[in-house]
Formats: sequence, C-alpha cells, structure tokens
Amino acid sequence: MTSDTPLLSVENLTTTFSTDAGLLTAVDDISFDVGRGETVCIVGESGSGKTVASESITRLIPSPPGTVDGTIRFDDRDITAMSESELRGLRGQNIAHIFQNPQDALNHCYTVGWQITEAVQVHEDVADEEARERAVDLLNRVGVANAAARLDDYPHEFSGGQKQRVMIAMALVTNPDLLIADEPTTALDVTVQAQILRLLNDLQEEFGMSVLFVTHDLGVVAEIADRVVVMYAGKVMERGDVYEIFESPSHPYTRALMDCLPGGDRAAGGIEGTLPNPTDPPDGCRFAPRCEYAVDECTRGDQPEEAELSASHSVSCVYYYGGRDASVITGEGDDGWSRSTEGTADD
Amino acid sequence: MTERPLLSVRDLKKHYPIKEGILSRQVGAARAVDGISFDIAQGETLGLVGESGCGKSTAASSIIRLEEPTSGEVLFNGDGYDDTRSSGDGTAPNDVTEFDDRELKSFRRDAQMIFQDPSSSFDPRQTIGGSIAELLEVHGMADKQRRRSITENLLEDVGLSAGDYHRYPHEFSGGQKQRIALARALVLNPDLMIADEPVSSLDVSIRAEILSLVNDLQEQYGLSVLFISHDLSVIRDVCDRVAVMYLGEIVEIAPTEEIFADPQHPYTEALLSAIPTPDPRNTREDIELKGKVPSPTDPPDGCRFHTRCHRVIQPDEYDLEQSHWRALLTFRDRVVADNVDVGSTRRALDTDDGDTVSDTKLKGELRREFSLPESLSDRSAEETLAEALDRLVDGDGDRASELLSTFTTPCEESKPELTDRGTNHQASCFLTENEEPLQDAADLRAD
Repeated sequence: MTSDTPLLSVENLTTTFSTDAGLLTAVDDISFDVGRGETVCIVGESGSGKTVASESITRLIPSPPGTVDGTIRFDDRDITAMSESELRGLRGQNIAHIFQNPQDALNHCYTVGWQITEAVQVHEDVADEEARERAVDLLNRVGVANAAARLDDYPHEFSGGQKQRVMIAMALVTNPDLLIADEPTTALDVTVQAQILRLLNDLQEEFGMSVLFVTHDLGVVAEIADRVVVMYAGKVMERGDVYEIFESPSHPYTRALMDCLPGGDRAAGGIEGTLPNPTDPPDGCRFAPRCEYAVDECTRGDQPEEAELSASHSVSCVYYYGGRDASVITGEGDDGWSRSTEGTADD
Repeated sequence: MTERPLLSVRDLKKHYPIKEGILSRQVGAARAVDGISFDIAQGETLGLVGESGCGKSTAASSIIRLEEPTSGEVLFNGDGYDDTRSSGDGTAPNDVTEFDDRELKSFRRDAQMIFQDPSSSFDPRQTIGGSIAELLEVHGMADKQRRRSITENLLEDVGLSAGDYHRYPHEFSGGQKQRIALARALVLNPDLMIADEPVSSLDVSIRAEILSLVNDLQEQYGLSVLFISHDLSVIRDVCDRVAVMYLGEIVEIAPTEEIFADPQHPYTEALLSAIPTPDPRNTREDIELKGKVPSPTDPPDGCRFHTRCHRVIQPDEYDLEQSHWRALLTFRDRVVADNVDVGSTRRALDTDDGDTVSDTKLKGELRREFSLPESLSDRSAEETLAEALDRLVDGDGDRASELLSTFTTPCEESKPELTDRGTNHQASCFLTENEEPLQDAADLRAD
C-alpha cells in the first residue's frame, strides 16, 4: 500500500501563536506521515491541536500571529521552504482541504456551478463550456442527484449533506494526491454522515488519494482509518494502525476516549477535568492532571518519549518505561471496553 | 407519581401555509408535524429521533407553544393543573394549546427548553448569573439575595462554581455553556424539560459529561424530559423510551432497549445501522439511506418512508432480489419526476472514448448508475424495464414513465397504522404487522 517514502511526512511540527496571554503552543513538536493511498486519522478532543496541525501543513495558519516550525515534506518536496506562490500551486492542485462547516466555505452570493467552474478554471485553462461539463461530472460523481440542473442553484438551496458533497466535488477538481478533511461529518446527521464516509471511501479507491482525516469521533475513525494518531494538548499520545488502536489502546487518554463512546464505561461520565492551558502546559505528560493512573513521575520533565510497542504502534506514557507494569492501564480485570468490541466481532 | 402521564400529546399537527401571488392565497402546506401522539410519564425521559427535517424540533416548539400548533391537544398534568374542573368551552382545561396568556406564563415556568447551540442562547453582554436569576425575577421573586443564592446553588449543582456568577458567556467552553443552559432551565424547578439536540455540537468526551449530568439532574429534580436527537447512540444512554419520527409522523415508539434489540420499522433499522461502530473489523454491510427526507409539502402516499425504504414490499406477482426491486422503484420515481439526465450521462461516456456512444452502452451506464442489474430475474418485469430504457434513451421520457408506473408497491397504496408489537411497542409498517421481526435485526445490534 505504501511505497518507501510517504506522500506526506511531517517532522517536529510546532505551531505557536503569540497572544496577549503569552506564547500559545497549539501543536508541540509532533511528527507523523501519510502514505500513498492511505487514510490517516488525527483524533482528539476540541482544543487538542488537531485542526491547527492539519492547517499547518499547507500553511493556512495566518502569520502573524502564527508561526509554523518543523519539516514538512510532500512528495519529496520541502513545503516549509516554499514561497507563498509555490504553495498556492500546491494547495488545491496537490493538497485539497475540506472543512467542518460547508456553509461557511461556500460563497452565498454565487451559484454552486459558478464556484465549481471557477475552481476548475483556476487550475486549468479551459473554456467555460468545458469547465461546466467538468462541474456536472464532478457533482454526479459525488452523488448530487440531477447535477446539471442543480448547477444553477445557490448554496442555501442545498442541504448540509449536499453542501458537503459540493465541497468534496470542488476538492476533487484537480485530482489531488492528498485530501485533508477536517471534521467533514461533524455537523451532519448520522445518516448523512454514513453517506459521506462511504463516498470518501469510494472516491479514495477510485482516485487513489491519500486522506488525512481530522475528527473527535472514534466511531468515525473505526469506519475509515488505516492508521490513527491520537493527539492531546498539542502532543501525540499514541499512534498505531487502526486495529492496534482499537484492540489494544495503550495510552490512558486513548482508553478514556473510547470509554466515552456510547456503550463504553464512561458513556455517562466523560473525562474529568479540562484541557490544560496551552500558554502554560503542565510539566511531564500533558494528560497527567486528568489521568487516573498518574504517578509522580508523570508530572516531571517533558512529555515521555514514544515507546514502541510494535513497528507501527507507539505510545507516549511513563508506564511503558523502566519496567513498570502497563497492564494496570491495559489490564484485563476492568477491561469493559475490549469485551464489548469482541462481542461485536462475534456477531 | 400519579397515574396520569405528565404530558399527553394527542394528534398534534403543525402545518406551515405556503402562500403565493399578491393576494397571498394559500396554495399548500408544509406538514412539518402531521399528527403525532405520545405520553411522557412523571420522571420519564422520552427520546425523539429522526433525521434533519423530519419535524422533531417543530414538534418540540409546538408542544411548548413557541409556535402555535395547527391542531391537536397537548395535555399537561403538572402540579396545580387540574383536568377535572371544566373550562366552560368544552376543551380540556389543561390543554396547553388552549392556554391564555396568563396560563401560558405559568406553564412556561413548569416546562423549560434547552437548545443545540448554547452560544447563541445567552446574551453575550449579561453575566451568566444575571441570565439565570432574571427568570426568577420575571416569575415574581422580588428578593434579590434569594435569587442570587438560588442561582449560585444551581451553578454548583451543574458542576460549575458559585464564583462563576459574574462571568460572561464567552469565558466558558461549549460544554460549560451547556451546563449553564441546564442551570437556567432548572432554576424555576420545572416538571418538564425539552432538550433539543443538547449535545450535538459537543465533543464525545464533553457529550458524555453532559448526558450524565442530565441523568443526575433528572433524578434529583424528578424531571420528565423530552430529549430530541438525530443520533440513536446518544438516546440510548439517557432515554427510557424512544419515539422515531419520519417526515412529521411517529413510525415507531418503544422502550429504549426494545428499539435497539428488536426494531420493528425499517427506518429505525436504518438509523441504527448508521451509528458508526468503534470496531475497525466490523465489515457488516450498512443499510444506506439514500437521498434525503422528501419535502413535507408533498409527502409520499402510503407509508411516507417507502421512497427510501430498503425493505419496500414487492407485489405478489414479482419475486425479485430486494435490492433490485428497490433500485427499480428509485429509477421509476426519478423517471416519473423527469429527473434523469440522459444527456449528461451520454456526454460523460463520450469524453471517455472519443466518439458517440451506442445506445446499448448508454443503457448499461444508466443501469449501473441506478444499481439496476443487467437483467431482472422476472421476465415480464425485465421486458417493461428494457422497453422503458429504450424510450428514455430515445428521449421519450413520458412513455418511459408510463411504462415504469406499472411497477407499484403495496407500501404506497395504503398507509400503515401504528399497531402494537408487544408491550408498549408500536410501529407502523406492513412488513412487520403480522410477521416475523425484521430478519437480520440481530446483525444490527452493535453490542
């Protein structure tokens, strides 16, 4: 599935914002990569830095006040060294974004057709007629019924799910290599969410795109991800392929997130406490103040180095160092979650 | 606990008139809520689920009379509401739809509502303490100190601190704002709380916190709750019973466990299937609900769900594969609505190989587009379909729709009623009326 060099490789990405309250570190020294044709999910609560991380890739972060540091290589080109005009060529052409609220991303004053044909003509020198045909094809492809007629409709005449389809159509205009989808289904109904996820899956197969998918919903992650990066307060807590994350979640935060899902142990309870202040993060593990397993060591020094559990699975937690017994976290005794997943697998 | 339910909704309707022309003559109505009935017992939580546009929020605002219902009764049996005394005009004296202004004001004290977006339900220039205490003042509590102490206690009850009294809405996160909204809903000690998608805009972890808070508060205050959501998985954690709504009607109502274990309506089944399961190895084929909820201005005949139902019934003369039958009806509906764009399909094929496509290829593409098989297993059905495709490709859409209109389903001919499927379990579907439960309902049980 993946060739030797990943399509996108992000190393030591740090994104900071200077604010009145001091320097706010939204993303703190994280690394991940996305292989060709692969779907990688960044998952975490609101405020964990996942959106900033995804927007830092194509430098959509306004600067100032934002500053993006680190190395981002896309298709063996260094994005961080690119000029703004080179970046413009990359955005849309090779890397496309879709966002949570399609109504905010579409212009109310123009028809949907106008907006898609504009996107076509920005990237390719084609006549109006041909651009329009392309637009119809794209709308057809993303499942907007009766595309030719709907081209002259305004965004408000589309439902939320259809607007998201239109956004996906616009993102596909150039056949991008990487689609960055930031919570594309969060504002939608469950039934529509299921439709959009299915569509993304189909399109990915058809176009061989890579997808970087940002979400807070582990249920969605299980449906589409190949690999998962769990973020908390700007740091990576755990990463692994989707089976490893769901079958042996190893970081207390990952486990807590899973327990929050309906049917999980914390389905009615949530995770105690709130995210730390990003201008003044705690010492040691960022999650320690809310972690039920925290020991003294957790609150000293930096975020623990990621311990490798397998070639693809690693976790940033002190329990995986110095001969500690990590089974208190992954332990069999109170393992309500994995019991219920096994139950589903048997069905 | 009294025996009477706290709230009885009887055949509630809310139709929005559609007016046209300079005389604003009414030319139709959007039947947002079209005759729903249910009870909520004291201390019970009833969930109301359905997709966007099915009328669940309109139902809520009609019950609480934020909007005037078109017809129907909403009987409210809170403390001090007496249905034995006659009101003199033949209507029930505890019918919310007949309340005058004074009665309505007192009803609004006993029934409270919270909304999806907590940010837009607070005045950004008023402290949250002020927002909450204001209700007490409006309803006649003159003692400022007492207002304040009640508010502070309540803030602590919902997991904030008394010191938050003087802070402004923007200083709180979404989840905290929803807590404040809960506090505001509870300050008048209501009997009924209507929560309209209270957790839909929140993160999973915060969502779990708020749901547990709702559960706790409900116990503490002995509230009845009408909980509206599009997500059955949320409903599961808080509700005692669930009513499933589709296009202005309730299609199934049952205790929560039964809805999950033994759904009796295909729509419920499809909603259950849309819940993402946190299990990457789950390869179960989801039931895909194609398209969107039809317009309530012109709801489909018969069972309103038949245009999207994956279990739509075949007439006796056919025995097609169910997915083919569904595809055939979808194709029929699109052709009849003159909504099939043969031209663009033809063009799409043109660009692929350079010269004009043959009709055969075009017909094949149309079949593929509508997930129709190469050939239907029933000979006469296949003949009709082939003929209709020929006409369609020739540009004679009218004849094609005439031909396809010979395919009909019992689901569109008459309307299924809500009938009993066990204790407290009602559903409206012909399929499960006299028959076995939906066969693979068991597959849908997530865990």
